[in-house]
Amino acid sequence: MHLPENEKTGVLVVGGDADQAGFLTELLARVQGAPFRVHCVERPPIARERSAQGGIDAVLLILPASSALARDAVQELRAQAPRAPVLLLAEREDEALAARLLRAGAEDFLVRPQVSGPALARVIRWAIERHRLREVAVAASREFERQRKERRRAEEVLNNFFVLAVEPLCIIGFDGRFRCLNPAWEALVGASLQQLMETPFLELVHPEDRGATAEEFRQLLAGAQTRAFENRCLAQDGSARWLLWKAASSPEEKLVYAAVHDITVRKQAEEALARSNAELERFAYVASHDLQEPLRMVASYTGLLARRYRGRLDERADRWIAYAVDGARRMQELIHDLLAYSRAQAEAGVLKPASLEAAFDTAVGNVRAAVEETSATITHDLLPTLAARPGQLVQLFQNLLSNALKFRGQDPPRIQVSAQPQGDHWLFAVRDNGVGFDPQDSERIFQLFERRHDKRLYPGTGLGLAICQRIVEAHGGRIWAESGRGAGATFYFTLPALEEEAAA
Amino acid sequence: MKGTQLGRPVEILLVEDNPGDVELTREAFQEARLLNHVSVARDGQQAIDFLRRAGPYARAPRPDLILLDLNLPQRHGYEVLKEVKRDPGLARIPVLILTSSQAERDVAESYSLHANCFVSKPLEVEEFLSVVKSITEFWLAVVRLPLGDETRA
Repeated sequence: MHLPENEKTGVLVVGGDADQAGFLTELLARVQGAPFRVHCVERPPIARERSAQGGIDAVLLILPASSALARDAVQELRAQAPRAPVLLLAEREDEALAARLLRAGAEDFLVRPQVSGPALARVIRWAIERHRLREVAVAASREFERQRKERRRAEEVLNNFFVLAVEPLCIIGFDGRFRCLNPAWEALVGASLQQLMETPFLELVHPEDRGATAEEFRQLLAGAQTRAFENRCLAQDGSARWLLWKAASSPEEKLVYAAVHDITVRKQAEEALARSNAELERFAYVASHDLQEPLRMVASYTGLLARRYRGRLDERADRWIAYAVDGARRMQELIHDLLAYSRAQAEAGVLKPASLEAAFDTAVGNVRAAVEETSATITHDLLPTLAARPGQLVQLFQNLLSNALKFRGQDPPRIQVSAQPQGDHWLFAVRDNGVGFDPQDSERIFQLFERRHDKRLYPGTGLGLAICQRIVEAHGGRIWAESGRGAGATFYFTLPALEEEAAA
Repeated sequence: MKGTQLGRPVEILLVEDNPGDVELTREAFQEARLLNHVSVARDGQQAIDFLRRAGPYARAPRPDLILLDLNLPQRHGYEVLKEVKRDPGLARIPVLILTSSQAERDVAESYSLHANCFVSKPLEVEEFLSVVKSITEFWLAVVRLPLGDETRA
């Protein structure tokens, strides 16, 4: 530390009589270049006022007669002018007093008869230098302490969260052993943190998942990030918990930081859904054979009876056979539609880009007889290609077209199919000029076996729209309908657009 | 009765365990007015024995056409199909799968085992009769088949 070169060093001489003060002033004034400005005050209280005015770099205290007073004076000066070192000037050597006063905060102890001008100047300069260096050191150490406290507080905050976290968090060494675990692990595994710390991390993993986990860990060590790795962890009671891992490694520390999400409930739900879908599929398969088989016999032979024996029994027999034929036929339709309904979900499979235009054409072909019979006209926009199951889309269009044809009004049916892209999905509308439905039934009509009109006038199983709903929802879309009675009906549905289309 | 390319009654092997369907199919042949002779195998094993002329079937005729159901007791229809298509002496006989199954995987599996066609048994009797009529007409009157191994017949 250096004093500004063009400024004089301010020295405050405290105490002593006029002779003593004059002597010191004289001594310092004679130093080459006269670098000192000397101020004199009689007593410490006045020193405070003077030092508050500034320009005081060092205090020179001329020792009072009583050494007891000297100690108080040093302390008082230190308190009053903390930035300036206090030097003592005594009339004679006194080791014990010097030691005592230096302990009280004095910077140096000088004996007047031994002091020359240049020596005094050096001593004062060194005292100022030492004092300032000490100040800097103290400030640095205070700052260091403050930062240490701040770090500790931040660590405490993080540690609080670490301990509080509901989800398991851990730090694993590159050797595969835990370095740190939060208490959430105790609940997850059912073992104490102590036990867990002693268990190599891979031993907690389900044996079937160890290979994949070890591989993932190797990649982490090589610098890759783990974003969503799934494996099973073995709990103490032998059960397995599904975990989703997010982790990153720190090569300098040779540590892996990992946050874990317990996805057991979701996994179980997924497994249950997969099981239920598989069961549904099995049911559908069994139903397609075992239920249809006897029914086909009833239908075939009542049909054959009607064919071969019509008019050869009596009129009542003909009627009864007709009832049986009709009943069997309706039962077949029901089984057929129920199968379609269950398959709409069971045949999940992968959605592949499929042309709705082609599906629509097939559907129109399938209802051609009804179109011709009713002199209907069907118009449609150009339909897009979407991620879909084509068979289900045919069924969707076919059901909606059949519906529009079935619930026609007095005039020949006019059915208009429109398609509009709307951001990440397409909106389709199938509009007809038929009898429509009561707006308050607009949700009910999609329910299973819900029939909006007289069964004799409008035959059907009551499953068509329910199937439509299932198909649309299985494709990630939504379906709804609007109508006023007698004002025609419009069925709307949405289907997600292909991804590149949505991005465009 | 209509004649065929063969100039003799058509030999048909019907592999079907449901007597109702057997009779219905016979009715259909009758309505098709096709000069035919139908042999019936009630399960997959019987069908295989018949085709191999094993045991009591030593004098069994070589069929011109096989109508094969899939869900059969003893040996599944697929096994019968495999046997036929594996045997060079039988492989050329058209095998028509006639089943109540509408499952896509049955259709796919049948064709990959070289079935000649796959027909779901129609639900309506009228349709059933007309389907049986048209498939037999198609395979026996329209399609030209290589001359069978008549020496074995």
